[in-house]
Amino acid sequence: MKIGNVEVKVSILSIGVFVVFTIFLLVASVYSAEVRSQLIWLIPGLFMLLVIPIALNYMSRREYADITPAYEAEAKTVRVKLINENMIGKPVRIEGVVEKVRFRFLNRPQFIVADRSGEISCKMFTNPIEDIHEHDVVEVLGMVIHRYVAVGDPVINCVSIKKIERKSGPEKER
Amino acid sequence: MSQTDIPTKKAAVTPASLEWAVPVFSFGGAAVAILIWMSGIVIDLRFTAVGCVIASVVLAYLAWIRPKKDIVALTTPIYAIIFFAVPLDDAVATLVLELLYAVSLSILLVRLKSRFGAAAVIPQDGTLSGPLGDYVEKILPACTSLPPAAAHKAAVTFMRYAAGEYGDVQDEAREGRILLDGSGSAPAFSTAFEILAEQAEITEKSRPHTEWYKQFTSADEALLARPVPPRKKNDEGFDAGFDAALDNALLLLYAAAWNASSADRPHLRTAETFAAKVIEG
Repeated sequence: MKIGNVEVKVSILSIGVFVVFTIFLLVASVYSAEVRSQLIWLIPGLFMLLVIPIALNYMSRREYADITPAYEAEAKTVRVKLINENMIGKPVRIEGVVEKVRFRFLNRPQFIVADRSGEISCKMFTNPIEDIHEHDVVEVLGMVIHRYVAVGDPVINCVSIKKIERKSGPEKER
Repeated sequence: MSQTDIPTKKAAVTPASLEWAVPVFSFGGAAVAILIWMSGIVIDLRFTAVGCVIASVVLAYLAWIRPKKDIVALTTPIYAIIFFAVPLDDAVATLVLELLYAVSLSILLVRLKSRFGAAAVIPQDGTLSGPLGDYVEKILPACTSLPPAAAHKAAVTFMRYAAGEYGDVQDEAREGRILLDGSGSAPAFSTAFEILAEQAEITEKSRPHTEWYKQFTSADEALLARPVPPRKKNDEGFDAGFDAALDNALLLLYAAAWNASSADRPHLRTAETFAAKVIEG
């Protein structure tokens, strides 16, 4: 779905929640006259379960699109091994192979990206513009942050992740 | 200057011994509760849950001291308090809850050890541990001739690089190089400053590195953490020598600063994990 210039994606989880509550509401309205009398509020409420995630996704994507040029200008290309706690708050660019993708269904994907020197988690707070899969060779732009707000190993708060080559096996980079 | 100049203090409790405390306290508390219940003494069994709370705190501490944090283990004290603060009328329910909680903590401990690596060991005697400590100790004799100002500059250069302040690294490294002139110290230290200045400039300007870049010579190898690979690109155009030059330069400056500028050790300690990661490859 596209809103303006922004491609919006709804997570599987949001759709699942919407479907479950829709079924629940249908069944309840069949058996309960009281529920039927409240449908004027319940149906819009049901649709809010979809509208709110879509709105949040739209705002996140627009924000990411706005700040990506600044990162492209300022981020320095580094090896994964050189990213450390002293770099917290610094914009960086890394290139590597996607080894794992986690939490995609939550619209909060976490990409484990590896180069010859090591691997690092790249967390996003919305889905990337293009679909990224395991073994894709990618360029990641983002800021170094702690894994858990103020503690934990350094990870990348990913602002942009894009493929830079054709699909490749992990043995190519390793 | 020796690493052992720093006052020594031995750690009383090691992480390995603390690991035993998790099942001992959690199952111990449950065992005490079972004994009281079987003997028919009428008291509130919830006080035995203190064992589970202590075990949770120990598990959270074990998670905290690891470089890679486990959020599940870190939050177990919260769950312990929630579970055991609410009174249960039934004694059997309390016993079952304690036993299940003890089993859960033991599983989390195994998970912590297998998935989140070993605890970071920080020697209490002021030395560095592992391969980094061995390397720093190895090049100690070569650092005796380093001027203190140059050693301090090595610390500053290293810390700037670790922090990703590549623009500053170039200036600091050039000043460090100048301070070494006429000091009689090994040429490898000057080369390390030059390599850092060059590579920081390349990174700062986001330039690809050229065919010819500053590299250590074979005469420097005795002071380096890694062998010097030849300048040669593989089939994919990757030259391992370029990265190895940077790794060796960073480690040499870290070791020089640690050995010859003891005032900078607290700062260098904050980048110890980074230096250890570089040396371990």
